[in-house]
Amino acid sequence: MADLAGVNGQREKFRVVGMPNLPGRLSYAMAAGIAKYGADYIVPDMLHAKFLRSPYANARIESIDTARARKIPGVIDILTFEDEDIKNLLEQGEMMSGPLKSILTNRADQEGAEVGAIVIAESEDICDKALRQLDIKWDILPHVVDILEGRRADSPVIRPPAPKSQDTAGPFGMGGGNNPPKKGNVSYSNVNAGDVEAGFKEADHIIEYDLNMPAFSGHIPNPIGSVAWWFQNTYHGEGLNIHVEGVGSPNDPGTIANMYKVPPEKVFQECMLIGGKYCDWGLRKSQLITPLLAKRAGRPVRCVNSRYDQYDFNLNQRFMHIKIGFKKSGLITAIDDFSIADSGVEGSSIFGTTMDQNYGPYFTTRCQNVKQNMDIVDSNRGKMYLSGQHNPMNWDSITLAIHLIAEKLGKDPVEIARINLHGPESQTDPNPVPSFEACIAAAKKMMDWKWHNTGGKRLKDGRMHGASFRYQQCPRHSGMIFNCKLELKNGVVHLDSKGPVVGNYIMEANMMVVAEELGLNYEDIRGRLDSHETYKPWGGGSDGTTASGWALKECANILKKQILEKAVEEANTPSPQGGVMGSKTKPAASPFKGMKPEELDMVDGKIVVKNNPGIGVPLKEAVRSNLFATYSGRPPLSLWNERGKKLDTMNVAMCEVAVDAETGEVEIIRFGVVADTGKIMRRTSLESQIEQVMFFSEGCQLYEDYIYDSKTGVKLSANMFEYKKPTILDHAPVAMELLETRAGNAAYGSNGISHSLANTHLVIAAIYNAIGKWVDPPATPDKVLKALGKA
Amino acid sequence: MRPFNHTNATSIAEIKTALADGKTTLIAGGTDLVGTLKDNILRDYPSTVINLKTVPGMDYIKEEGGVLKIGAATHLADIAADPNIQKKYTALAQAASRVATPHIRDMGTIAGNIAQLHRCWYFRKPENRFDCKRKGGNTCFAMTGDNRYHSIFGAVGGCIAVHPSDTAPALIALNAKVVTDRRQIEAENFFDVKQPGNTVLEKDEVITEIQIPAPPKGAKSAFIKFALRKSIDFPIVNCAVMTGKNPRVCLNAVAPKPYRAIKAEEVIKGKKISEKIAEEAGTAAVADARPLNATKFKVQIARVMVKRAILAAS
Repeated sequence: MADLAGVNGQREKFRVVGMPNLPGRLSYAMAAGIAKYGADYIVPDMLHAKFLRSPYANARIESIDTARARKIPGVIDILTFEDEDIKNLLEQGEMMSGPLKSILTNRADQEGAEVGAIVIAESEDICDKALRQLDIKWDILPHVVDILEGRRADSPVIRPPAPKSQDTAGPFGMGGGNNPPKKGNVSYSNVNAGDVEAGFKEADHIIEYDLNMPAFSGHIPNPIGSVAWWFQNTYHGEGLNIHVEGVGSPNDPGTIANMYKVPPEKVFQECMLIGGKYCDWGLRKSQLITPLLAKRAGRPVRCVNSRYDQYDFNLNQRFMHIKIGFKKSGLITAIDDFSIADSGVEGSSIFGTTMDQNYGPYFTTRCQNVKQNMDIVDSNRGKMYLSGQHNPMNWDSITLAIHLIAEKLGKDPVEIARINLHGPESQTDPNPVPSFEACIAAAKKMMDWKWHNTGGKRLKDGRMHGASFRYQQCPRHSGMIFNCKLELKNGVVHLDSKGPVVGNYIMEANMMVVAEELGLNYEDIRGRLDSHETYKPWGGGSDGTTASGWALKECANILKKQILEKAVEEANTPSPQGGVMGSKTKPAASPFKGMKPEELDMVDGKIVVKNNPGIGVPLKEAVRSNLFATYSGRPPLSLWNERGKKLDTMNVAMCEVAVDAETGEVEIIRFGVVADTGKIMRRTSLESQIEQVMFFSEGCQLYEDYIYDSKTGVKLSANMFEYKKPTILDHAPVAMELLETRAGNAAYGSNGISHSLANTHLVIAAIYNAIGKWVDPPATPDKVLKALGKA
Repeated sequence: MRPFNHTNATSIAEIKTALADGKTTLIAGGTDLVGTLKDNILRDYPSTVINLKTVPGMDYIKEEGGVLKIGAATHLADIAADPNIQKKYTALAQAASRVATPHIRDMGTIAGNIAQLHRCWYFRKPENRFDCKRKGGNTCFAMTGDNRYHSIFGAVGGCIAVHPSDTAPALIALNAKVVTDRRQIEAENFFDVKQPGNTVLEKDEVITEIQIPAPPKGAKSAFIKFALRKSIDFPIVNCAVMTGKNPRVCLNAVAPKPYRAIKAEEVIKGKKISEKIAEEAGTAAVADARPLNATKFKVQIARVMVKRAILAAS
């Protein structure tokens, strides 16, 4: 596939697109600390609000007496779950679906959950003081933070009846039908393809293995929160308007407008930056409740989460038992995947559970006999708002299969992958995938890939050497329509967007495409964020850069046509100069007089004559009119939507580790990544996203762990010391090579990189290659030493 | 953070007077104290925080009469970068260079590093969620909870949290003294298990100086730290060694107080250091270990740290 449907999709020469280190205004603002996020807004006369947060993993508030707290000087208001305003303020129960429910109830389903009450006061300190003075009668309920315990038949049932359905189609499709009814804490989802029993009969070897996918925190760096106030301005029509900063939802101002029952045009936001979030589009209560509080108080109110409140899941825990049948050649004939997955607290997304059953890696192989049974266990561990970088989250099961088959047969895992990867068109396509072959060739060269058997190599310092490899698709995976608008104002091209900007540089990439198509320099394009605009640049995953870039390519060419037409029109009928009285000076005659628009082009900031580019006029002088162009549409659907059954652009990651067998310490010597995103849009963003995903991979495989106190269900590792996200000083080197096969079907043949490279077992597989033992991630020294029989 | 008064002290006497009320606490670098205040982890909250850094003459490194003297408010980064300390008191320079992060080393002081409170995720859980033994409660929650990073040498006062300082074992190995406004304390005797403190200091007692005698001729010292992340973490185990005629070996993060490994010292005393001797010393160092199920790995790491520190100092 390639960008055959779009204008200039086969462009050969690029001046702007793909260039590194272009100085974007927005990216500069974010990198330099100038950009303002929700928590940064401090407005005059502002009050503060804080939620009561549950000290218990599962509890119900029977009653709250606020009398003592209300007497504290500086306390303005205390709302409880019994307040009518609270009962009537409804939020989405589950991300992108599910019934609406009150924003604050008397039920806490994880430690730290907002529950029961919120205090408004003159300062955060007073809020804290008031929260300590609430007289609360708790009903502490049994909890589940160990999903294997929660799955047991005798485990206490933690969730009230009428749980969310796990066997109906969700927003992205999920799960199988004919599932058994929920029992205790466990829902079931079974998805079967082909004939697994026949596949096992066909096999020469059968292996079984367990893997434990760790939970992982996105650990959003910017404290999430909002500031809101109401104001009257007849210019905006009758009734009050809401000004709210720090919401930054994909749908805003729609979300706030819906919740507060005001027209979207009466919701105002200046801040469209919400900081780095990885596919976590969930709005927190602190972002949604401030308009209510501000209305009650008659003053602006700010409510911001603390870091302790931001340990939501970006990946939920799953235990897998995999059975694989394969032939002597290494060709897989049957896959039987039994998983026990954490459903999280109520309202968690289905990514990581049933979603993965249709979204996973198995269908990238030639094997069509795949059985997937999943037990999904309700827990009090935490919430997964939507998805994570690691999605699809069971890709590592096939990575381990490839390594185990390779070990069994004494072959290089790269060769096992090559045998099993189906061709571009279908699972029965015998042809190689060109992108995969290109990635493999580059990666082997880059890493000087010489496979050795388990335990087969020691480094000079005595440590054991291990290596591993993994492939994935370079995807994009959305089908949304982009409503683009470009304007030529006073000779300058403007791209306006409603945002939000979630720690990415999509707008910059978009502006690069516009500059490319209009023959302008990147810095000639002005980008502006305005919540009342319609164009949102992202579309889920890499659609942000590549599919929106495709739509803007179309839009830019519509504008270009208008510009050239107007250049000829203004050349033929020059407007009088010098104001109402005219001027004695005649304007210079335009060289385009009498020409046709199709005889002109835009090059280097000028409008030029195609056949003689030496004849040109700067855009600003050639066209004095203001113009705008719109385009609504999207590129053809990505092959990602085929869920692995068709393949175009691929990527490969390799890893080398050194294991100190005396201490259990694992050092990642280096990662190696070769990624074919089809066409590089903004090189700096692509490189940094690859760094980021390998950073994610490193963290979840070596350090990061949700640790709970089993007796209380309290998270013990919800701070930056105990939840051990690596710092930049810990980050392993990442060698990378970026390929451009132009095989994607978004802008210029691009696809993307997101949701593809992060993984939970690349390092683990390398450790296995070093020591011959499986260690569940994170591979901390205690586990490595235990595996080695030294602890 | 709850409100408190902040006072810039101008003299030790002023600090002593302030501390005597029992409601005032001392701040130097503040890298530990601010965290405890922000998280409100203790039963009591100070009404006043008094600043040692504004007392003149508390930040210095000098050698007088064959003794290295370090002012209590001397920053860890300065100790790590001092050429004389790097050369003669190597273990201390190495230990100071491994504390936390560059920013924390720029702020944190030597006195604060040895007087910091212990690390235990139950003890440190915000809003005093676990009112444990070290706070005057009845329960050590770690004893029956998750204790993977806790003591391998048993409890003291019913607590199995470990002392996390990097510089403490180096000071003990180097035979240092902690000087306060009223006495000199052998570094080895400076540490204690209190509610909630970690030192023998009286409530109105102030560290003023650290003194380290010049190492005996031929003695070398070294410090090694084992932590999950190299960039920031507290130790899982650390170890400092001074070789020579009377060798000293000290582990930390393995017990509620720094643990002087006398049995390891006996193994290497008077012997030429070799891989085999160092290994024997490592084994001897953990001979008395009584690990919990989850802390068995720390015994192995302690054994190796002792071995490697001895070899590094030989």
